[in-house]
Amino acid sequence: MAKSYTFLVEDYGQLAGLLRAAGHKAGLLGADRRLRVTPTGVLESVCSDCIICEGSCPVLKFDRERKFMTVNQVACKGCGVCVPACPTGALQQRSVGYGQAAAIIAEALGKECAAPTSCNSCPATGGEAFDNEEAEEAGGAVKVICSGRFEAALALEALASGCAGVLVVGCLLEGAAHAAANEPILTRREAEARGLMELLGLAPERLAVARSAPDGDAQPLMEAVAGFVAALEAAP
Amino acid sequence: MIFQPKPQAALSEVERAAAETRAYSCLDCGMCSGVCPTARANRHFSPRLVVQRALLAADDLLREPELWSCLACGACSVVCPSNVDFPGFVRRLRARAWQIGERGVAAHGGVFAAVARLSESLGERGADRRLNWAEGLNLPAKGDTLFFAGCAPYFDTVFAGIGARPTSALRDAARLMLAAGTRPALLGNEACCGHDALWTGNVEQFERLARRNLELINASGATRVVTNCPECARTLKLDYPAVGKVGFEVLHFSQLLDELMVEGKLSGKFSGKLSGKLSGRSEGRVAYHDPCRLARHLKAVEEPRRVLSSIEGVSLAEPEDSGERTLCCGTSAWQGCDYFSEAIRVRRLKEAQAAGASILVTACPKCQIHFRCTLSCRPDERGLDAGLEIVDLATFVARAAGLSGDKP
Repeated sequence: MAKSYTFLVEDYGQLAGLLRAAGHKAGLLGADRRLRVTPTGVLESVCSDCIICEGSCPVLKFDRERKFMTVNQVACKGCGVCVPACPTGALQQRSVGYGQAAAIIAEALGKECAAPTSCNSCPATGGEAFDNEEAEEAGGAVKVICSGRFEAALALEALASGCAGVLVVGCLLEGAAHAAANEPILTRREAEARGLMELLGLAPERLAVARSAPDGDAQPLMEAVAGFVAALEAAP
Repeated sequence: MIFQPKPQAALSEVERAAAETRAYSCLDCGMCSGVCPTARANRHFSPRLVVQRALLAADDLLREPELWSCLACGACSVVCPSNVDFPGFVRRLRARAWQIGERGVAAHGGVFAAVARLSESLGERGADRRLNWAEGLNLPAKGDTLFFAGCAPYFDTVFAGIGARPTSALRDAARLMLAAGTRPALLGNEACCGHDALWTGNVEQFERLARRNLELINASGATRVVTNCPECARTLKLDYPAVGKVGFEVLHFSQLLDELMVEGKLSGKFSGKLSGKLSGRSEGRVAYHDPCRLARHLKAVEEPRRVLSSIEGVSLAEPEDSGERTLCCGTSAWQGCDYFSEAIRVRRLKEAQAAGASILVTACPKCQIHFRCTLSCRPDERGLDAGLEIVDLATFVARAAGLSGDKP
């Protein structure tokens, strides 16, 4: 039985090409199926006014009078980095709702390659490069998320759904401030996911993090994907 | 005959749940709303209204956030003149809601639900990591008394940032058991107890987890299972019998500790006086927070108090709501942590302060995590004393006995 792979990526266009080159079938995203970028919203009834999220993004402000967090909807780029910073689930993004991602991953399971995902806000991602028929055939793809949105729950849920492994591909867009800012966040959350995986007896090869520049040389990402797949296949 | 009761088979799932949990007997008296921790913080919530709406407009209720606001802490059932099992009723409603695809809002990104799912098939692989907390204690894999560790190792990983380390309480509990001559066994591949799955409506998952744990525990030959988590204890003791044969007694660690102390097995272990090392403050004014699952579901109110009172130098302060009338830590099953949850915790911490306590002892890892979190979020603005120490009962007693090797 073919293993299924879940790819949580920003650089969607490039990755899909690479996956095909490597002999995998990639899920593709047609232009009209791209979900609109939505700013993060606050479920006011769920916000516990703990303000733990406040440091995660400058567009988040605590409304001291009404006692909940607010998002500056004009300034919010919809990257989703703040979402896992919220312990209660009050910060939500319609376009990257976990349920949606999980549903699409589940739908794509059993295919050779499951659920590629692409960044919400990055202009360099290549969603338009693929036609709709291909997208339909592959079961669609998840329109997501900055790698700073990554959290242990996403990886564990994908693994629990039967995915062989999770590859997180973060962008290294030159000059992109968010990429630099998200790096330590991603590192911390990766460590948490690894800690839990170790406790659960899951092989460390089942989670990998790679970096790519959407407008740069494809070779390093190609190697990262090939290395990930090879490591997975060799894993116990 | 004007009113003819429907035959059992024709009852809807909600009607059956109402019959079996006596929700039909609700007098609409409002006693529940007066004591419900959620209702005291959120005036739009009331157990009796949930019952009313479930019976009059179940289809609406099943799709509303209100259904997920109940903490299942059982405060309402203590005062209910009709003896309605409201938590049980809510649990049944959630099971129905789950079937039609409704979910509460998961806290912490749903990471613990994912951990529970993955724990369904835990093998030997990684067992050494899961048992890492017990390193150096030389605990066996089999024995009469089994120590069910629960989620503590996972909590350590996720909550390191707020200084919560539930496995250090496990170590202290194990040290106390060893000092009393009880050598607890550990299972390297125990699954999640299933408490959270059960109370969020995922009954199928709960049953899978329960079956797996029952198989493991029954095969281990243990006659007694001890947990340091009241939710595990409640689930193993009260919910597992519906799934399969439970061939063992279930105790929360506070109950075992009480038993060991009453039998004199720990006498002479205490240095006599609580020293300043407990909290950096010399006064031993200690408040005990009753976890809802322990005090109400398992009715263990006296045991932890007896344990604490028998330690010289401890002056037990009772917060305003205590014993079986305890407040809750504001969140259960890692879902629905909201403004009102936080308000409940703030209230509880203030009650402890008002009772003059410098230490708040709890007997539940989740209570400890939640109180620590609240205490770390702008305490000054909320009138909280950030110096209040939150300590697990096992750790508190082990320190008093000079047995705890972990730094505070």
